[in-house]
Amino acid sequence: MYHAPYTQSISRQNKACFLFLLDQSFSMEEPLGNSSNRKCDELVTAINGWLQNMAIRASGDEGIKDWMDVGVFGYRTDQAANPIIESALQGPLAGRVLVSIPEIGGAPARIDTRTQYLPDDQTGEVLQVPCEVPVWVDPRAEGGTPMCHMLYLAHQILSDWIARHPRSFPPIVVHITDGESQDGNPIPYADALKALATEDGNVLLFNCHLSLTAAEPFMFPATDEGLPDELARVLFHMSSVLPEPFYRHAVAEGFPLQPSARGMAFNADMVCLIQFLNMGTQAAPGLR
Amino acid sequence: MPARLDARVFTLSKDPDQPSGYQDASAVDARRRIAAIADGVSSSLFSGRWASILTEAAVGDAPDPAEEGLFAAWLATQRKLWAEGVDAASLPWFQRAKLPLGAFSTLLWVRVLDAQPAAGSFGAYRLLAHAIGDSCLFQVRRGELVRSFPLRTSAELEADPIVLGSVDLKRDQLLQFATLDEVCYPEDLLVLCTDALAQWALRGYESGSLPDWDRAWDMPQEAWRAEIAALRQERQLQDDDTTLVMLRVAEELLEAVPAPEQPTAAAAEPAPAPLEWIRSAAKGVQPVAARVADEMDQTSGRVLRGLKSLKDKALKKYREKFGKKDPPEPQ
Repeated sequence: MYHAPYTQSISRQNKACFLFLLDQSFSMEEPLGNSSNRKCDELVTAINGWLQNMAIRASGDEGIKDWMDVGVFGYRTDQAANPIIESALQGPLAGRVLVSIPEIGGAPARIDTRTQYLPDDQTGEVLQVPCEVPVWVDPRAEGGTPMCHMLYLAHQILSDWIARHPRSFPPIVVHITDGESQDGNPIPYADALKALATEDGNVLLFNCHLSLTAAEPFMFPATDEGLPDELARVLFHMSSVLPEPFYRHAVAEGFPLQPSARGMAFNADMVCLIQFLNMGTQAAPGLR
Repeated sequence: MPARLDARVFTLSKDPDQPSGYQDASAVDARRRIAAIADGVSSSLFSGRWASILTEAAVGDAPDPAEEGLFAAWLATQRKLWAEGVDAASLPWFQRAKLPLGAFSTLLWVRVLDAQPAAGSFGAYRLLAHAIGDSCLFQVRRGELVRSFPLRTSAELEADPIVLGSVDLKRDQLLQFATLDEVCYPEDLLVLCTDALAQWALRGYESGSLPDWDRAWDMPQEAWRAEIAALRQERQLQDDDTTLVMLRVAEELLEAVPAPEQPTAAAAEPAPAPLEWIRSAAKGVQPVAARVADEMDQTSGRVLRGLKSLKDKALKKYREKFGKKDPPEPQ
């Protein structure tokens, strides 16, 4: 019987898989557009926030439901320009390739306490409320940008995962970078990754470019016309077209998308990055 | 005639291997003819317990949601009950972070009441239901859908439902209950479903592929679960906790009053009632058939008594006219 692609519900039997590929090159030391914080700091804040939210959302009465596997990889080079591709997870999960969400929730590297500022509904005063912030990933910024090596490893990781989960919603890869590949043309590697498929559809590759300047962001473009430079066009062609459920979800969230919009953001600031992460990962059935 | 609700309840958790993860709930009070169903939102914490508290309370003493003050007090009582069952200090960080939002659940409850005299529908009962969220009631008569409530189309299930929260997030003014005040008849089937099954059923009605609830009524629990699992496998049914509550209004016969003893009848073979065959043929639809048979028994009795009376009168005239001789035997 025919089933529309990208409709498989996420469950324990049909787990989801999210793979984050983080640029850890030296340029991530620079501040993010519209922020005084470094790109690498903002990036790990967003990723740790995503992991925290996902662990909370997947939690039930008896702990965290085992509905997804997550991988967080960083890529950079050493001083001799050798690629370093490794799991960015710290603490008890360091070195792990893909980790189930119950393991993520159960083993953060540490839990920081931060102050949250919340308005008091009754008095209008701003209250300082301590809150727990679990941390899995720490910032890193050194060396070059071996993007092709990263995409090649991602292909290996997901080939193996798909073989074990052939009926699942296909893996979603979220790649976040601030610059161009320094080890070749990444488009063929991206195409190979997107050619992987479960019975429910092809692997989805979404790319987000972090901006140094407060330039106008491009979110989910449907064409490469009007994109500001060659890097933007390369990322556009690397990115998957948003499948129907993602397209509908984005439109429902107020994004003025065109048909054939791609999972790409360019010149993203922190707000765009978080929106991008949410839009790219929450439209899968069962995650809303 | 007094009535009760016969009920069948079927359940299957989203993950059949983990029945403890089931977060729907249902409750039936057959004697008071009230039943409730609720779908705990799986992304919230302890929502199964919240759904269970709501259904038990709805069957127990739920006020009309239109009576805002009464309903708010009732809801506050249920929320307190939910909170008392949570030991926040023992929770891990991910549950502690979620706890302030509380649990969420849909709620649908239905009650079958004696009809008001002014209703004008002979043999009818009043069907009263209240709902918030996307659990759905189907009223079915002889296999035909009379109405669905509060959902009418499968498309309505695409949107996130409004649900009842176990924590007062100061948004109760947004709660809007749908109310159904209609009639139902003996042998009507009242089908209560949580969303996945409701969507499947509505799609079936829309496409002309009618759900066969009567067949489900007769199924063992495990057979029903196997069918639901197959529908999930074929992706005709969403992977979600699935609950089906089927209710049938059954009239209870009054206990028969013993007939006065007849002195000569002790040794005689009792004559069968003229229309006993209707009763024996109508097992399973006994209340209606019994009524029909009673009516016809009484009618035929009147006819026989009338014939006997005519015969007696004719004999009397014959005897008066022909010197009290009996008529000749027929040839």
